Amino acid sequence: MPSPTWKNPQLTRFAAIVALLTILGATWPVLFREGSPAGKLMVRTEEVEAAGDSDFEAAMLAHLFEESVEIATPTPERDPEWTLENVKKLRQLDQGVAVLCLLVAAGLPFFFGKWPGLSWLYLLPAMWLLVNAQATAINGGKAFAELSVPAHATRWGMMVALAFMISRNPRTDRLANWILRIGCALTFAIHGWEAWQLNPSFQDLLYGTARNIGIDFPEAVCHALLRIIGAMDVLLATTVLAFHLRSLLFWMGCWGLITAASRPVAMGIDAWPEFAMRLPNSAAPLLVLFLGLPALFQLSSTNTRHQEPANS
Amino acid sequence: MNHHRSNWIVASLIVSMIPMVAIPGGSAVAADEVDLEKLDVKTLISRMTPLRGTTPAQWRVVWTGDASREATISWTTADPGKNHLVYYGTKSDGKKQKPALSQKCQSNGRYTIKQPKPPKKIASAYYHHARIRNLRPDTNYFFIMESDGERSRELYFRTAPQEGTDFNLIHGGDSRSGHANRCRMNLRIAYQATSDSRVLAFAHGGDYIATGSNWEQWRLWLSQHELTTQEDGRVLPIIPTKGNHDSGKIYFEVFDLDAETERWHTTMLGKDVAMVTLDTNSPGGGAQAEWLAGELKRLRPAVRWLLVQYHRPLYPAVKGPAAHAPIFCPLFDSFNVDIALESDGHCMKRTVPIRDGKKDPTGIVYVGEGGLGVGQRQPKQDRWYLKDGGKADRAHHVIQLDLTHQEMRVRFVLMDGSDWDDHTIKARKR
Repeated sequence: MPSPTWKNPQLTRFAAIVALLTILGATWPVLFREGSPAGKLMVRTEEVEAAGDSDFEAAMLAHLFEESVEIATPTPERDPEWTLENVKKLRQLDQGVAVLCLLVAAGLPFFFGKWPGLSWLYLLPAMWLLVNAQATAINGGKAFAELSVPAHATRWGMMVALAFMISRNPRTDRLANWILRIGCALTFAIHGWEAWQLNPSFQDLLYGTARNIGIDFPEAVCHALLRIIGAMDVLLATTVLAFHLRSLLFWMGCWGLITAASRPVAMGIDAWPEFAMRLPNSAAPLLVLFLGLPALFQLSSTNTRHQEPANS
Repeated sequence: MNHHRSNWIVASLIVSMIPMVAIPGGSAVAADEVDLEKLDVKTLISRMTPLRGTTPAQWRVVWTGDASREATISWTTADPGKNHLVYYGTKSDGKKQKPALSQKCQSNGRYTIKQPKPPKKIASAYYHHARIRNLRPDTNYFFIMESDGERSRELYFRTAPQEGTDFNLIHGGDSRSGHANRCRMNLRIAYQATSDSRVLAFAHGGDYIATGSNWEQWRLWLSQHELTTQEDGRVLPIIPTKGNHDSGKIYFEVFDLDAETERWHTTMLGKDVAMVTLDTNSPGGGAQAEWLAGELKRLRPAVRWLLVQYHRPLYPAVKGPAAHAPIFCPLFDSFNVDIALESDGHCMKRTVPIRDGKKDPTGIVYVGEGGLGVGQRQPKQDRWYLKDGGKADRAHHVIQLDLTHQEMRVRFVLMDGSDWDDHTIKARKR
């Protein structure tokens, strides 16, 4: 049965818990490992600038390739100690932002019931996740990194949707419905494309998961499975925009949970942040299901009745 | 640190630089400028060959197969040209004439260049690969590259011995940012080889540049790689590894590798030393795992030293372990690999010997993490494999592997020539 947020606050609580776990998963590597993608980008930029290489590069281009490059202000190589201090500050900033987002995600569920206006604070972790997705794309270094912003759409999208859902009125529910649907479509479509293209890390997830449950299969089987998964994901991405099919949305939720869980299953329990960060891949379609609002097209068998509140 | 040894190295570096100053017309770095950290960038640039017309530039010798008998000599030209060949032979003929043998390039082509938005335009560049075969082991081969009549100066490299372990190797990774430091580390590599004639080759652990599909970055790396050439023209053959930033086609075009079949490969340095190169960008399972299992099974009984190199660490000092760890590590354990050379973390580390995920004196030591110019990160020194016998720190470095019949000395050599770590691994075979 459709459960609009203004009737069912459990839905926002569910979304808030998932949001907290997502931010916890994203914060963990910032605090205890190499930092966030945005942090790494800041540190790298600082180190490149500290190296004072811009004039060196320009001189090389002129000498070796007869190309002239204008340098606004040639930067001399900085004192390594000073750079080290700057990098330390950037890391602290990175950690500070992560902790702030975690505090927001942890604290808001206690207050948004009384003060719904605070829900807009969810835009802070949403922005943080979006910036990190963009930083991942810029940093590169892994297959399909350039597609990170749409691939992570359920993560940052769910935070935005949650801000709307807490307002608890039909108009914001409709907005949340479309933010979640578009987020799911983007994430599933990109992951489907990557699977179809046989993303090496997806292959290792399959090999690792299979090995851990005692199955050993050849490369041809792995490739065939990924093609099937890819096609299915793209189909699900299209469907979530076009129709409100409860069984398919439920399957998207299950599939999102399975793929998120495949990280710690394949790589060990230390990979739990990878699982937590991907929980929105499961939660977002479930939220769409429970919101029960229509998609682009109506199927005759689809029940998407959504009653307006008496006082709206 | 061994101060006596580092003093000796610095002294030998200075002595070794004296002949360079005496080379007429050369652009040698003077002995008193051996402090690489203070080396003027203009001096560095003046030592690289400008890319003009069909003048051969950006040379490299690539080893991916039988290093005793085969090598690929590669270079770049600005214009496509028509006739590209390498003259080679076992005798130096100086400037009088070209060496006796010749080999036409079997592979020529345009590097894959993505043009930026106008008005900026990147000039085309062309690769040329001459695969030379049937070489004599443990022999200096002099060569001159020629493209449409334009010739390089005479260079040379030494083939691996047919058998035995009487040589050293240099390993290093992550040269992806920091031009000046990358150049200085290239000079460090050249100095190591100058001061120790046993150095045979340079194994690069990957992440040559930041964006693998970007020719603008590759062309700088390639020109800077010329600095690893010694003043007397000796080129250290490179054994390439693919890093996570080396995506795209250019990596394969630079090193004359087949993108489908040569992502992982074994370089035989004679009969007794094998360097197995893996690709942590490709899936660890499936074809690579099958190949690795077969290769280690074949090589372990046959060689004295079985070395593996790959980019992403299995026992990392900074990040989380590569997804390949559960596949590669048990194979390394099963076949008693002698050392695992890693990059990617931008730091220095040597683990305790590890077997089956635990400290074990019979286990495998994992070393490296990359410091060929890239900014260094703070390693997590409290990880169990980096304590109580393991260690980690941050500094630009190369790793020198000194091989003998009985043992392998593993030294981390810093930019200034001093050692950060000096460790010995005993041969498993008696």
